[in-house]
Amino acid sequence: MSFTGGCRTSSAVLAVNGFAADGKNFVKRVKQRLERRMFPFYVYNILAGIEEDGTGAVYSFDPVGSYEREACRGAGAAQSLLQPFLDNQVMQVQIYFKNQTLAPGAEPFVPGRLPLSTVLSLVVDAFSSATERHIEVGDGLEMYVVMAPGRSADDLTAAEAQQAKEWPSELTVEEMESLGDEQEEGKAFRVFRLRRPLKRD
Amino acid sequence: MEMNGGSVVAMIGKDCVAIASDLRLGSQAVGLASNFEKVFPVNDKLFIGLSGLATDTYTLRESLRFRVNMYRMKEEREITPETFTHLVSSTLYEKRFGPYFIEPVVAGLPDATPLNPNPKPFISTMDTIGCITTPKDFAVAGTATDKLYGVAEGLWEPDLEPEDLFETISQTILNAMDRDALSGWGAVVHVISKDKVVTRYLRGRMD
Amino acid sequence: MEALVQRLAPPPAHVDPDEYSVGGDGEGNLNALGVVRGMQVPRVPDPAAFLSTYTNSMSQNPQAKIKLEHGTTTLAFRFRGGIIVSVDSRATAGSYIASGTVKKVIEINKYLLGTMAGGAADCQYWETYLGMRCRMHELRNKERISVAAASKLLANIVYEYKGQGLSMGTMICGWDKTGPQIFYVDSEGTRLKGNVFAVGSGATFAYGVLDQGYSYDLSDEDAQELGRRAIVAAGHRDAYSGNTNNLFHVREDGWEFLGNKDISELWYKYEQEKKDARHATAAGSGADAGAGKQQGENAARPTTEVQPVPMEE
Repeated sequence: MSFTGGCRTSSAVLAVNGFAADGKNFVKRVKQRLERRMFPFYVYNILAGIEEDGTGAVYSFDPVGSYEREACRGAGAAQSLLQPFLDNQVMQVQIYFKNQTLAPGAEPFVPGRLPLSTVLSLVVDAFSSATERHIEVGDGLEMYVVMAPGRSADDLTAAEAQQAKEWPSELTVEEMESLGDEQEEGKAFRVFRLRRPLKRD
Repeated sequence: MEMNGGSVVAMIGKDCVAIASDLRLGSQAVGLASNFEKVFPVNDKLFIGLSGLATDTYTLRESLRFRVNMYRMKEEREITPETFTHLVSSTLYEKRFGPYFIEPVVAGLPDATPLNPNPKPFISTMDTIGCITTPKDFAVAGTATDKLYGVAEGLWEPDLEPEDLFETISQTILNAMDRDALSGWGAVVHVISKDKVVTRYLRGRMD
Repeated sequence: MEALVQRLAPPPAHVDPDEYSVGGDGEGNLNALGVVRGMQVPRVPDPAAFLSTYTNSMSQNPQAKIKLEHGTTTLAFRFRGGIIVSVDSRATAGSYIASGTVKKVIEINKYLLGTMAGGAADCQYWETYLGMRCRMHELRNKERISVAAASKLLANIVYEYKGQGLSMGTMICGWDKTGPQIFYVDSEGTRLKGNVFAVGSGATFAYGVLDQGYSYDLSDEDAQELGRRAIVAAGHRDAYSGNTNNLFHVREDGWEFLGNKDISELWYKYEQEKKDARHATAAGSGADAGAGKQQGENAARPTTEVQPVPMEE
C-alpha cells in the first residue's frame, strides 16, 4: 500500500498509474529518461508502487536522476513543511516513530502496517497544513492508492465513509482502469484516485 | 540569520504557554556550542526567545533587561506580555535603518487584574524591525521556520494541557530541527502554567 | 536584449539520427568514449554559466531554482589490513536536509568501491558506468582491472566534461595485484594516489581525527573504529554532514559492508565512554567519583529535568 503526493506546480505525478510490477526496473528506465545532466528538467519526481515482494515502495528522484527508496517523501513548493511532519508520523526509527518513544504496553511499529485510514488522514493533514502556510499549495488534493493483487478494498470504502462523515460529500473515490498485463481476476493491481478539496484562499 | 543558525517556537495551551529553542550556536557550517539558549525569562511568567544573529541575541537581551527593570521601578509592577511585546517592538524599530538581525518570539501568561480578571495565554512574534503578530495558536522563528510551520500546523490543537503541550512543542521542534542543518544540538522547553514553570532539556540529534 | 533572446531561443530543429540511436561500440546509449549519446547540452556559448544560473552545482547562487544535493563527509584510508571506507548519509539543499539516508559508497564491483561527494547523480551515474567499463576490461583481458586503471578511466571521462558543471569528488578504492590502493578523482581532473583521504564539507574534521589516530599498522578493529569516529566527529561539527555512517572494509578477497549506524547515537555513546573514563581516573586518584553533572545519559527522552522555578503568589 502506498500513496504519493505529487507536486502541484511542475512535476509529473509519476506515481502509480499502470506501474504494477517491478519497481526497480522501472526506476532504471525512468533514470535513463533523466539523462540530461547538462540541461536538467526542473522536476522532482516521486514514484510510488508495489515492489515484487509485495511491499509498498516510495522512490524519490532529484532533477538529474539520483534516486533513493524511502519510507516517505514530500516534494515541491512545500516540501520543507511536509517532510518533517511525515518523518514524525510515518518514518520508522528503530522500533517506533521518529523522535517518539514506545509507551509501555504499546504495539511496536511494523513498517507497512499503518492502516489505510491512518495513512489517508495523515496525507490530508499534511496537505491541509501546507495549504495553511504556503501560498502555492491549496484548492484541491488528489491522492492515488495502489493495491497489491488480491488485497481487499474494503478499508478504502470504510475510509471513504469515515471521511464522508468528517467532510460531508467532499471526498470522491474512483478506480482507475487497469493498465497491467495481468487481466486475470484477482491478479491485477488496482489503482484508486481519491479527490477532495483543500482551502481555496 | 544563517550565520549562527537557531530556531525558536512558542505555543498556546489551555491556561498555559510553552516556548522552546534549540541549543546550537554555529559559525556557518561549523557548530561551536551546544549550550546556547535563545529563550530568556523576563519575569516569572513571561519569556522571550531571540533567534537570529547571536551577538544581537545578547545585545537585545541586555537592552530589554534594562528597559524591563526601568519599567518595573517606575510602575512598581511587573510588565504584561502585551506591553512587553510593544516594548520589544519599539526597541527594534529604533534601529529601523540598521536593524538587529533578530526575530523575537514572546510567550507569557498574564496575571489576573481587576480590569482583566480572566487573562488568556499570550504569544507574539515580530520581524526584525518590530512588526507585531499575535497568533492564537503558535509562533515560530529562525532558520527552521518553514519546517516548524509544517509540523506545528499538523500537531497543534486547541486547549492542550501543560503535559500535552510539552509533548506537542517538543515533537515540533525536534522533528523540525532534524530537517534543518543549522538548528539542533539539543533543545530547551519551558512550559509556563499558572503556578509553575517547568523547564526541560531535550536530548536532540548531535549531528 | 536581442542577443539574450537569441541565446535563449529554442535550438534549431535539427535531429542527428545517430544521436538517439542505440548500439555501436559502447554500451546502451553510451559510446566507446563513455560519452552519453543524446546527452543534451544547452546550446549557449557558455553552458556552465547557463547551468549555474539555474542550479547550484557550480555556484553558490541562492536564487538557483534547481538545488542539487551538496555537503558530505567521506573518507578512506589504507592500512595493513586493507582499506577502510567510511561515509555519512546526509544530503542538503541549502540548509534543508533533503535526505538522511543517502548511500554514498557506490559498489562498483566486488573489489572496487567509489565514494560520493558533490553531485549525487553525477557520482551515481558515472561510477555505475565505470563498473560497466571495468567489466568490459575483465572480459577483454581475462584479468581484473587495476585500481590505477579504473580510476584513470573515470578521470578521463570526467575530464571530457570539464567546465560543463559536473561536480564530483570521489575516492576509488580497491585491492588489485599490487595490494590495496586508493585514488582520489575529482571533476576538475585531479587524480591522486594516497594513503589517507577525506572529501567533502566535513573533511577537515575527519582529517583531525584520522591524523591523530592513523598508523599503517593499525589492527582491523582499530582501523574500523577510527573510520567510524572520524565520520562521527565530522557529522557532529559540520552542519552539512551527519545522520548515519556507512562503513566498508576492503580486503584481498573483496569488500565487506560493516553496517549502518546512527551518527548521533554513536556520538552519545562516545561521550558516555569519555565520561566513564574520566570517572574511572577520578575514582582511581581518590577524588569524589560521584562529582560532575551527568547529562544526556539516558536513551529515553526527555532526559534532564531542571528543578521547576517556584512562583511566588
